[in-house]
Parts: sequence; C-alpha cells; structure tokens
Amino acid sequence: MTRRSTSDYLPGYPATAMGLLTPPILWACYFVLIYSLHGMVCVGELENSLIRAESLPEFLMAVTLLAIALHASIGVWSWRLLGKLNRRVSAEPTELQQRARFLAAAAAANAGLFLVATVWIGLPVLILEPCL
Amino acid sequence: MSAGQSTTPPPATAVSPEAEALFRKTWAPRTGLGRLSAVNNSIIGRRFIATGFVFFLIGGLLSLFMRTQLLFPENDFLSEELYNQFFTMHGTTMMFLFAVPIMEAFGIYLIPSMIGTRDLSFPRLGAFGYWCYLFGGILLYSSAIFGAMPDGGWFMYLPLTDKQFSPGINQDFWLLGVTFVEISSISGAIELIVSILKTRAPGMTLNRMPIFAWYMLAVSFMILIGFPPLILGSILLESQRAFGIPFFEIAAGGDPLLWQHLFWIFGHPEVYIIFLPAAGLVGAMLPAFARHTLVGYNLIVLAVVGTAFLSFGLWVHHMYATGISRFALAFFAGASLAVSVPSGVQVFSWIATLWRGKPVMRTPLLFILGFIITFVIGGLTGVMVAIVPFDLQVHDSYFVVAHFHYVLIGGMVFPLFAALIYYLPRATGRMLSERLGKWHFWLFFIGFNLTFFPMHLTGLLGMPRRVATYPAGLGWDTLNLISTIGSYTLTAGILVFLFNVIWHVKRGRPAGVNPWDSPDLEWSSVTPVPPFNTRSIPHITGRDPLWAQPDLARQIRDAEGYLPTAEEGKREILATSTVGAKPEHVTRLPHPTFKPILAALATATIFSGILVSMYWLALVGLVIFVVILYLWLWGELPEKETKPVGNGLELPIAVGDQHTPAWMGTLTLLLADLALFVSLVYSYFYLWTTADSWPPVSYEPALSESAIIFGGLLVVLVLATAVAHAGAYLSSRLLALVGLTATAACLVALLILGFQAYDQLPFDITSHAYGAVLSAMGVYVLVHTCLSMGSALFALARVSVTGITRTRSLSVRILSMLSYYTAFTGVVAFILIYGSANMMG
Amino acid sequence: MPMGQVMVKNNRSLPCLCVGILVLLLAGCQGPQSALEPSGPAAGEIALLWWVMFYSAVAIFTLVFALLMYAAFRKPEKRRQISPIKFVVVGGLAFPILVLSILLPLGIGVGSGMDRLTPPETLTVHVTAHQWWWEVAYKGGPNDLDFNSANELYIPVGQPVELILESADVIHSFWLPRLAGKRDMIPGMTNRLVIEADEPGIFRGQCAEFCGLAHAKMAFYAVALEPEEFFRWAENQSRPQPASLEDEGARLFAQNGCALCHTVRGHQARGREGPDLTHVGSRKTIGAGLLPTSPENIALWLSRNDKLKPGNRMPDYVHLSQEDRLSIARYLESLE
Repeated sequence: MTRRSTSDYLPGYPATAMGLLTPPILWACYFVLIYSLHGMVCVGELENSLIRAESLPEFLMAVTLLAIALHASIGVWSWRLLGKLNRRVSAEPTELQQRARFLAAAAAANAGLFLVATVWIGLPVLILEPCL
Repeated sequence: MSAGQSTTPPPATAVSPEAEALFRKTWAPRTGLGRLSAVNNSIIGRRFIATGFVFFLIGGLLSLFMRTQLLFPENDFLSEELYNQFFTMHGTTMMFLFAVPIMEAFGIYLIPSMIGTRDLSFPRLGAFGYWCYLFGGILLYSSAIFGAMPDGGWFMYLPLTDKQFSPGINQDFWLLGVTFVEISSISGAIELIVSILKTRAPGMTLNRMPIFAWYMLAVSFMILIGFPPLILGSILLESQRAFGIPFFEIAAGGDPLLWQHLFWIFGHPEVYIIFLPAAGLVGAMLPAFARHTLVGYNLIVLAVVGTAFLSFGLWVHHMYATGISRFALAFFAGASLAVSVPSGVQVFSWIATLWRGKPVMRTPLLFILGFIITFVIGGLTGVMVAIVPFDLQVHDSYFVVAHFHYVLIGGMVFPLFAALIYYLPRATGRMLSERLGKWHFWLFFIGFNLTFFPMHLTGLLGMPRRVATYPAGLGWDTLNLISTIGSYTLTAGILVFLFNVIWHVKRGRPAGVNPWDSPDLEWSSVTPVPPFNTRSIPHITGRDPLWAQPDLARQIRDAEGYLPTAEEGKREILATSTVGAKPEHVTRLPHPTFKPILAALATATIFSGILVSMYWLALVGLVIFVVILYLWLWGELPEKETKPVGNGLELPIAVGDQHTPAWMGTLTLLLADLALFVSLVYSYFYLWTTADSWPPVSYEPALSESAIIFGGLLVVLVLATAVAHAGAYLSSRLLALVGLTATAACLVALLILGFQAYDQLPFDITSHAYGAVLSAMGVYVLVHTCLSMGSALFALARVSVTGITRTRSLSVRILSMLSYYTAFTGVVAFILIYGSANMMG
Repeated sequence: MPMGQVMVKNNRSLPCLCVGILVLLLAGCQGPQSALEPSGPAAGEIALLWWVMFYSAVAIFTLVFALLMYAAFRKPEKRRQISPIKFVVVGGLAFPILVLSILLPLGIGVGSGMDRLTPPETLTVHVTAHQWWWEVAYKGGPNDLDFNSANELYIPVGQPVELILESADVIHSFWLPRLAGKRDMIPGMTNRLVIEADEPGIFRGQCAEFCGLAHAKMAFYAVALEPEEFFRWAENQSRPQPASLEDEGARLFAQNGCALCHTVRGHQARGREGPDLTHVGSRKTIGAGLLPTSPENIALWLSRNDKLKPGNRMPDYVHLSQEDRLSIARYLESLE
C-alpha cells in the first residue's frame, strides 16, 4: 500500500502535473529553436542545409504558427476537460476532483499565457528583416 | 486502511511524560561549541536570515558611502578606485550575499512548518550550505584586508576583468567567493525541492499546498538551472586568468560576449529568484491581514510557473546595446513583455484579496501596500526598458538604476521587512512595536522614493551608471542631492527597525499562539517555536488549514497527529507521495554533527588554495572533503523494516526505492549538473557562430585508436551498470557485486585513457578557444568519471558489508544514475570532438 | 562646466512641467546630455516614445493605486462587491495583454534610423575607444577626408553620419543621448551607428559601459555644424602643422618624449598611443571632456594629470619647471 497507489489516477492528460508543464516546455523548445536557428543561419553556418538565409523568415513563421496551433489545441483540450470535470462535480467535491480541476485550469491558463508569449516573440518575423 | 482517505482527525493518543521528555531530548539543540553542529532547519534558517541581514547592512553601508560621494559634483570623498570597489561590492553583496540567500533562508526556515513537517529532508546539506555561504562571504570580504576588493562591477565583463587589464587578485576574490556562495544556493534549492515534493503533511495535495511553497518550488528549480551557467562562466574565466586558456580571448577564437551571455542567462532569472520568494511571502501574509483567503490561487500558481519559464528567455535584454541584430533583439523584447503579464496577475490577486476581505492595518500590511505601490512603478518602467529603442537610451544610465531598485527594493526589501516583523515573533515569542514599525515604514518608504524616484530623470538627463563623479552644469546636481538626502532618510528607517528588534526581545508583548490569526500551519505552534517546528504531523483537508480546521493547531501541539513520539530517540518525519501526499514511509533525519562545518572548511581550503595559486593546498582540501563525504554518506541502517506512525498506520522506514528523498536529491543535483553541461555545449556552439574558423585551420581531428576504445568503453560502462542495477532489482548480491566491479573497472580504464589523452593533446590548449572548450568538456566527463568511481567504490563497500535487497539498494541506484549520466555526457563530448570536426572538415 | 550651456530650447515645456512636479519642481528636461532634449531624428523618435509610455504609465499607475487604496481603506461594508476571479482575469491578464500588444509593435520600428543602411558616399567616422579617451578618424565620405582627431566629433547638420565603433582595449559604450541611443564598443567587433543632427549645436556624450578606473572621466563633445562650416573645419583638420623649429615649446615637447605617444602631423611626433594632437588647440576641451582648453589647463594637466584623472596612461611631468610646462602648453594651444 505504500507503493504508488492507483488513486493517483487522474482523468485526462491536461489534469496531470505534466499537463500543467507542457505549455511552458513547448514554449522553451520553440524559443531555443528559433534563437539558435536564427543565429546559425545568419552567420552562414548552415549553408548546405535546407534552411537558407532567404527562406529563414518563412521558416520562422511556419515554426511560430505551429507553436501557436499547439498551444491553442492544448488550451482547448484542457478547457474542455475542465468543463467536463466541472459538470461531473457534486456539491462536495472530493480531493481528487479538486486536484483534477486545479490542474486542468492551470494547464488551460498556461496554454493561454504561452500562446501570448509565442505571438509576441514571433511578431518581428512580420516586421523586421532577419540577418540585418 | 489507508489514512489518506480519512478526513476525520486521528484519535487522541495520550503521550506519557517519559515519551514526551524523550521526544524533546531527541530534538534538543546542543549547547556550547556543540552549537556549531546544529543541522535542523529552525536553527540553520535563523542563522541564515541573521547573516543575510548583516550582509544587507554592510552592502547598504557601501551604498551610503557612494551616495555621499555623489552628493556634490566633483566631490572627492571617495577616490575613483574605492568608488569602483564599493559599487562592485555593493551589487555583489546585495545580489549574492543578501537577496538570494535571505530569501532561500526564509524557505529553509518556514517551509517545514508550513507543509506540516519537522525539518527539511537533508538537514546536513542545509548546514553545509549555511557554512559555505558564511565562509564564501568572508572569503569575498577578506579582499578588503588586502586592499584588493573586486572592482570589475558585479557583472565582471571581460576583457576588463581579464589578467591584462586586472592583473591583481581582486577579480579572483570575486570569482571564487561568489562560486563558493553559489554552492550554498544550490544545496538549499535541492533541499527545498525534495522537501516540498516529498514531505508534505498527509492530505496536503499539490493544490492545497501553501502558496509560498509553490513559489519556493519554482524558485528552487530556477536556481538549479540558472546558477550553473554563471558557475561555468566563473570557472572558465578563472582558468583564463590563471592559465591563459582562451575562452573569451578574441585573438584566439574566443569571444568576450560569451561571458555576457553566460552571465545574463544566470542574471535575469536571478532577478525573479529574488522577487518570487518575496511575492510568496506576501501571499503567505496577506490572508491574515485581509481576513480573507488568497484570491486566485490557481492563477497565481500559473503566474509562478509562467514566470519561472519566461525568465529564462529574456537574458539578452541586458545586451540590447551590444550590436546584436534588431531581429534577434525583438525575440527577447517579446519575452520581456510576456513576463510582465504574470506580475499583473499577482498584483491584481493581492488587490482582490484585500477588496474581498476586511483589512486590518498592522505594520506588515503597511509594508505590503508599500511593496505593491513600489513594485508597480518598477514593473511599469520595466516594460519601458524592455522596448529596444528606449532601452538604447537609458541602458546603463541612472534610469535603469532607478528601475531595478524599484523592482528589487520594492519587490523584495519591502516584503522582507513585512516578513521579518511578521515572523520574528515565531522565533522570539514577542511582538515588535507597532508604533516603531510605523516610523520605520514611513521613513523607509519616503526615503526610498526620495532616493530613487529622481534617478529616473537623472538617467534621462544622461547620467551614466557607475561613475565615481560627475561635472556640474549637466542638470544632475540637484537630483543627486535629493537622492543622497533620501538615502539617509531610508537609513534612518532601517535604524528604527534595528532598535525595534533590540527593544522587542526584552520588552515586546508576548506573542502566544498564532498572534496574527493566520490560516497557515507555520503558526500552529507555541512561540518561540521549538526546534521540531511541528509537534505531531497533521492530516490536512484543505487550504487555509488553521481556519478550516479550528481544532487542528491544538491537535498538532497535543501530539494527536502522526509520529507523536520518538521512542527510538531518532528524529523522524513522514515522506509522502509527490502529487497526492499519501504517507509512504518514515524518513530518519540526522542528529547534530560537525561533518557539515568540517566539509565546508575543507571546501574553503580548496577555494583559498586556488585563490593564492597553491594548488597542492586545494588538493589537500579536496582529499579531506572526500573523506568527510564518505563518512557523511555511510550512515547506519534502521534496526527494523517498519514502524507504526499513529492512527493505526504502519510504514516502512526510509526504504531504498525510487521515492527516497536521497534518490530524488541526487536527481535534482544532476539537473543542476546538466544545466552546467548544457551551458558548456552552448558555449561551444556560440563560439562556433562567432569564431573566424571553427575548428581552427591548424587543427586536424583524427579518430584515433584510443578514441574508438574510449567510445566503446562508454557502451561497456552502460552495460556493466545495467548489470549492477539488475542485481539491485533482483535482490542478487552476487549479480550486484559483479556489475559493480565491472563498472569500477570500466571507469578506471576510462580515467587512464582520459589522462593519457590529456598528456598527448594534439594541440596547445592555450592556442585556441576550440581546443579550450573541447578540453573543458573532456575535463567535465573525467570529473564525472571520478565521481562515478567514488560512488561505485561506496556501493561496493555497502553491498559487501550489508548486502542488497530491492528495497535497500540506494547506493547502487545512485551509482547507476551517476554512471548513466557520465556515459551520456561522454557520448555528447565524443560527438562534438570527433563528429562535428569531421562534419566541418 | 565649460560647454554645458549651449542649449537649444524646444517646445516640450508642458511634459517637462509634469515630470518637474513629480520631482518636486526641481529639475527640467534640458541639458547638454539629455535624452529628453533631442536634436536628431532617432533621439527625437525615442523621446516621443518615452512621452507616450510615460503618460500611459502614469495613467495605469493611478488606476492601480486607486484600486489598491480603495481595497485597503474603503470600509468593507461600503465597498462595491466584485467577482474576484473576473477582477484578476480582466485587470491582471486581459488588460496587460491588450496594452502590451499595442506597445510591442509600436516600439519595434522606433529609432531604426540608427541602424539604417547608408549610401556609400555617406560621411563615415571611425570612433575607437581607448581607456579612457576617444580616437576619432575621418575616412572617405563626399570630400574624401582622411585625418585623425580625438575626443571631439564634428558632424554636418541634416545628413546621416555613419559611425564605425571599435575598441582598442576593453568594452566601452558610445552614448550621445541628444542624437541617438548608445552602442557598445567591443574589442574584436565592429559596430555601426548612424547618427544625424537636425540643428547646429554642441552635445555632450560619455562612455556608458564601465571601463575601469577613469570610466567617469571619459566624455566627448559632438559639434553639429552647417555643412559648409563643417567642411571648412574638416579642411583645416586635414592640414598638417607648419614646422616651428624655433618654438621653445615644440622643442620641449620633442625633448621630453611626448612624441612617443602623440602625433602632431607635420612635426616629428608620430606616436599612436595617445590622442592625435595635430589640432589640439582647436578643441574645446582636453583630457576627454575634462577641462576647457587653455594654456593654464594644459600646464595643469601636464603636472597633475594623475590627480585630475586617476589611472590615465600619461606620465606626470612634475619634474619640469612651471615655465617649461607653460611653454609646452602654449605650443599645444597654438596648434589650431
């Protein structure tokens, strides 16, 4: 009974500790990717690869849109789960239900925050010339 | 039955007077010289806070000297030389010796009682951290005796701090002193993470955790990831200064900007490492004064997690003026704005809490209001400096000085004073004077704004930072005069506080139990709080436990919770599961011991040896350290497998499965270690993008025979370790011993090969940054090979002496972790050394 | 301060009044080094951005302050009741996201003139920072200039000037607040900054990155002249000095080793360690913005430069008699 007990089971991925951390981790990966790609491409270190300086804006744009789409879908997923959990809850929610609602709500809010962060970071692609 | 499901308090069990006496004796601190052996958090935490406050006074005194120098234009109160040393030490002291340690210290002091347990998971590590902090601070300040205080700024930019421009020992004091102190921050972070995740009172699930614990959890992870880049930078810079290994040397393919990147990857999260715990303290105090539960708990948790991540994506906003392309700068501007959103959420949550409650205006609440006002101003100017073109004007001007003092003093010192006034009664059992507190607040608040508000304009009028003097007639004279007057007013406020503290120890009104009627567990005890914090471990059923369960505090004090006695005379706490806080086992904590202070002294010997370039001394220190470490880790095994913990629950004692705090502590330590390695890999790629040719033209990599053997050995190492691991899993002593022996042999072979490789390097290590970085990577792998070796020998001894079973296999599991990790870094280094060079060739 | 008084008034008195009230009516926005008294397009745009942000910040602060005071001090029973979560989501989440979404794109383009590409015929000035002075070299441009100066930057009004910023030793930062934002000067790197002045004037600049002992005393002056005046100045600066062998000061200058570090074009001095002194007499200050140029001050500098500017690389000439120092000073002052 002291091993990991089955009562730690939670309904749906967004309502787990990892679900809460997924948007920020996704954002971190996105950030590292665009930062290093931009750096490497602009000094010409990746000349022989697929991404060249000319196609860099399009590529960065695609990566940004992908990241935005992922955040949006995580957000929607967690939001829906939260709605489902809220409907299922009785007047006296059990500890497990409380926890699941907390995690799902945090995941949804996190997805929103990091969606905004991604939009703001990706903004210069629309306005500025890279490698200048 | 599992106690986790029960929501009724455990039944009362009368504790006999003998059992009560034994319990108190078990937790009693030693007296006389034995004080130096104290390890429990209630004592270490108090020392930490007091030491941090002393450094605050010293750092403040330095700034008072600086303000006096700037009183008039062309003043000659301080020489340029002294001024430069003073501003360097002011920044260094406030950041490394005051702000980070004192905030961590609050975590160390408060977390166990907040989460309803008795002590942190690694008391000796905590004590070791404290001594490292104290000795590191003393090392740093001993530079004053030699008239060689660091004078390169707290940011230590190269090449100014290189041997050529700073030939003295000044900067070495900084590099070594600060690194020494950082050991303490990292050990504190490991303790806090494991304690928060593993030792919360039963029933305190993640979503019921006190908000301060969330903040400290996030901050501790930030320390683990944020500090290693600076430690790496310091090591690289010190090796460049001492041995001429050119990591930052332009002429040899290095780059001084690499230092700035490493420094600010640390330096920006650092600001949040300072601010977040303070905000957490506000979250912990506010409900007591607002008479209302904290509004927006979920949103605040989101804000904390968001800040923790985002703060790692802004470091370049300290480097807007270095000539990086506008496009790249815009990424960081976006991230810098994003990080202000979570701050907005927190501010509005605090306001909403007050709005919904019935505020009681006591001194701590005054400081909290002062904090919110000041911090909002700092946040608004923070948004301004995140905008690239505006920052290009005000960067390194007094505008920025104003901005970050609003954020740091506003964001951290105001909450600190609130917390000191709020929590001192826990330690002393007496309340501070409200009347003196009001004087303190108003003098400090007015003095602060008088000092720093005009600086916004001083900066916009063109006054740069870090100038020892300035000419008259530029419009800066009056503003500087006001700032200096303000700084003295602010100091008067601090003096009133000091007087208040001295006064309250003798004359203050007795605090009794829970003087602020707080909803949180840290006030369940009588005051002054006894060394064990929590008499018996409660079962928690919701947030704000002392409000929600009115009888809880009494039950805790009357030993009606878990582990009411210490019948074996051992200090014990409960370990619970990470998310759901189900009781898992009993963890036995160490009793007072001199090993931490001795280990810290050995570490001090290492650092002093390096400082004065007596490397044999450093080696002696290292040997002593390793010996102490072995004695430290050996420990004794429990005399029985399980014991009853009260409420009809029987739990194993400190089992060796994955969830043991020690295992988790090693894992978190490896996280910091990985951050250091990633910083090194980052340095490699960064220099690749800046160097003229990478690798240098003269360098011809060849996949030699010994390199292939090295690569093969890494694979064998993993297999050998897997055998030992399997031995642990199958409870087979023979298999474990075979695996361990093979692992050790493999490690020895790796070490021999490694040292041979260093003997026959195909290049001069001082000739080019390429060879330098790869050698550093090789050294990293070799150091970890040594570490694994030490761990393998320990495990061999352990398994030989006491055997191995699946639940008593900690030494083998820890060795496996280290060994796999070493193999991983070896493979990465292998790929970078041979793979990239061949690819480029 | 000798130079500080050259000011050009502009029409920002109302905003200045507001800030002035906030800092107890004690200071204005003007000054020879003030970012709030811009004299060029880049600095002008940034100053405008500042005022926009300043007023927005004042508005936001007032709002938050009012809410805080209401929440903390209004009698609980008289308060309007709110939905706390809605309050936090609207005020703490939606509102900042809205404001910052407007500010971010607004801020990206401002002052981009500082980085713009310039046509090849643009006047280019190489500014190299040394501990603790500025080497200024005019090369190329419309009149094919080629001469060195120090601690003073002359530019023609109304046209972009490209600065090539480098460092000879440690990291410095070039900051001329009235014309543009700052840019670091990093050894091994070449940075660019395009500046432009709208009107004639004298602007003070200063090193903005801590660069060692005498960091506080590393200033310079920028002088914006009408183009014809500028080219007259440049023509004069290009001219080497006529030989003056009989001058006592020149003889002492050569005899005491000054020429090892300093250059006087036309004379025997070719040192490159210190500032080029060919036209030092025409400069407004000596010691990188430290003292107004005059024979007395030069003599003072010769005898006590280590006290005036501790750390600077020049030796003291205390062993010379005051007369000798004055002769050298008069000779240098004559180099116009």
